[in-house]
Amino acid sequence: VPLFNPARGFTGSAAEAASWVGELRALSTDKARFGIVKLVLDGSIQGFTARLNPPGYLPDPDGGPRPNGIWLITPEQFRAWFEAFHRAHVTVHTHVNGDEAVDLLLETVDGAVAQHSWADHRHTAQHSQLTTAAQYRRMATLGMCANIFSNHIHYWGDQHASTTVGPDRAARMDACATADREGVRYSVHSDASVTPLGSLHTMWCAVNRVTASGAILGPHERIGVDRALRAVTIDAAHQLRLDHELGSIEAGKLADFVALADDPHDVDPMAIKDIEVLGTVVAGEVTGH
Amino acid sequence: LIDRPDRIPFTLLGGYLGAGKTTLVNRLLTAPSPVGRRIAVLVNDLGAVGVDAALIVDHDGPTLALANGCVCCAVGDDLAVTLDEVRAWSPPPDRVVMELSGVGEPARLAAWANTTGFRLDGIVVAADADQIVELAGRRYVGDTVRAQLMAADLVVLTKTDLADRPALARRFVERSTAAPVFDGARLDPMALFGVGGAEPMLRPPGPDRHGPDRHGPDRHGPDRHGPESVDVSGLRRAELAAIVDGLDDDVVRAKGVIRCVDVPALVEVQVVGRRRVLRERPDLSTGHDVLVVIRQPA
Repeated sequence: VPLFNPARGFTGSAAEAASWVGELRALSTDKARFGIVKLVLDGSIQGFTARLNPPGYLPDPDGGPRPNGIWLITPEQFRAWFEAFHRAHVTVHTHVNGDEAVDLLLETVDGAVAQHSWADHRHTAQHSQLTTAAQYRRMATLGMCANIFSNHIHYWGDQHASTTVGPDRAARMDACATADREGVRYSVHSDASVTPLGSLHTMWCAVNRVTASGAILGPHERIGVDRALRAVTIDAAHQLRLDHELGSIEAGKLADFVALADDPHDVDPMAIKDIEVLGTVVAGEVTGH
Repeated sequence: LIDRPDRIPFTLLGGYLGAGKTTLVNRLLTAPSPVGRRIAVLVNDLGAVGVDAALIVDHDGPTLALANGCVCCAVGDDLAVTLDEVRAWSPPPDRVVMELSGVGEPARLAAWANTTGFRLDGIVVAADADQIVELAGRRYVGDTVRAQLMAADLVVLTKTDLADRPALARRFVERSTAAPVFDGARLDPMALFGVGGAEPMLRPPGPDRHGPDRHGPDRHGPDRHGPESVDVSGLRRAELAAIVDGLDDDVVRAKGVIRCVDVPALVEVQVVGRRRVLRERPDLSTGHDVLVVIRQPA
């Protein structure tokens, strides 16, 4: 839910916005937590509005070159806002679909960290769809997290291979295995309402990388079930700065969890999305089934 | 509704951060009351506009109403919602000017200016003479800046008095766009938006100091600064179109509602830089024999 849009609406300075986030934190309740910020740098790959490094998008259907995507905010404004939040110890999640947008984010985090030391910042690349191995290495060095849009593999993977970026880059999109190998803590997501909400389905996408047509897109980027479980639980809670309360079943944490009919480790990976949910427990109370 | 002949003219104002868009908007908002002009100025950041409080007659959330009839609105997250609000004004505004963000690409946004009730009047892009050459080659934003210039109907080169090499900037911009390039320091910015004293108001034809030109857009002397009249009486539509098409690159704006000898309806002419539009206006009954032209002062 956008509270304010720094590129528009909000008429104060970046520093004022950062202190406002601090005030909002005090309004948090057991179920509504304020305190981290999302900024948006680029658009979407399927909309041809994400910012890509060369060679950019595939040509249009007539063979003409497609322009690069769009920025939602100038790099100068982004830097100013990001640095103000970093200085105030506010974690920033930044919408970056394309790899050029990731470069700008990395440069910005690098600059912010150099000016103000905050080791546990957990700044996160949101969507992170075309992030390369080199970018994940840099993210690891900078202490960043990623939230990877794994559902895209299933819903748009065929179109990415045929129409947006071509088969080579499509095969390395939403590169969970690379992020893992390069030491970046990451989650996976549905971006509901862009694709349907459902953690088991998102796990299924990351584990199998099966497109709508049934092809396996980039089999080397598939991850194991255990890793996918972490990505929808404790590592997701970590980048929201809630891992001390949520994301694992431990004494002292909130009694919020779900009961599944089968252990995802034990079923055919292609059946993960179909595991029955027996019920949910919220704050210690059984709420379903 | 979309084909109503009296759709509200809608100007897009683009240009990178620091190009001088807000300065142009400020001059528009603080100009002396333009009689009969109710202008909706849509901006990204109301805070940046910095209008003198004495000029504000009403401040309601994202909207400032000014004593001169202008209303300044911050565009929210949803442009469609903001435009609906503007459409709902009673009486409707006479003109809309929308300031784009520093990375706003006019070509991608121009369609908004032709949605129900509006017609795209022109795309004005501001370029900082001291920055533009470096910006157009800068990583991340160079392609956006070049796309802004390419989409322009006219480019205003700003801060030419501060630039080290304004002539280089001008040559660079001229090679980057098909639009005419005007020096902001020598141009009444009101002319860009078609408002205020610099607007080419329709005047009855008649002798003036220089006398109207006969069938041609010849230049007046270099002392000439105000609007000039070009006599276009007794022409066929195609001849009028040829004259409009042949207007020199130093024409900032031109306008007229012209009687042509071979079409029953009056023909409206609207020129904003290189955008030259003729359309028949069967709804209008009062036509003229002159085209009013504003040029960049020599």
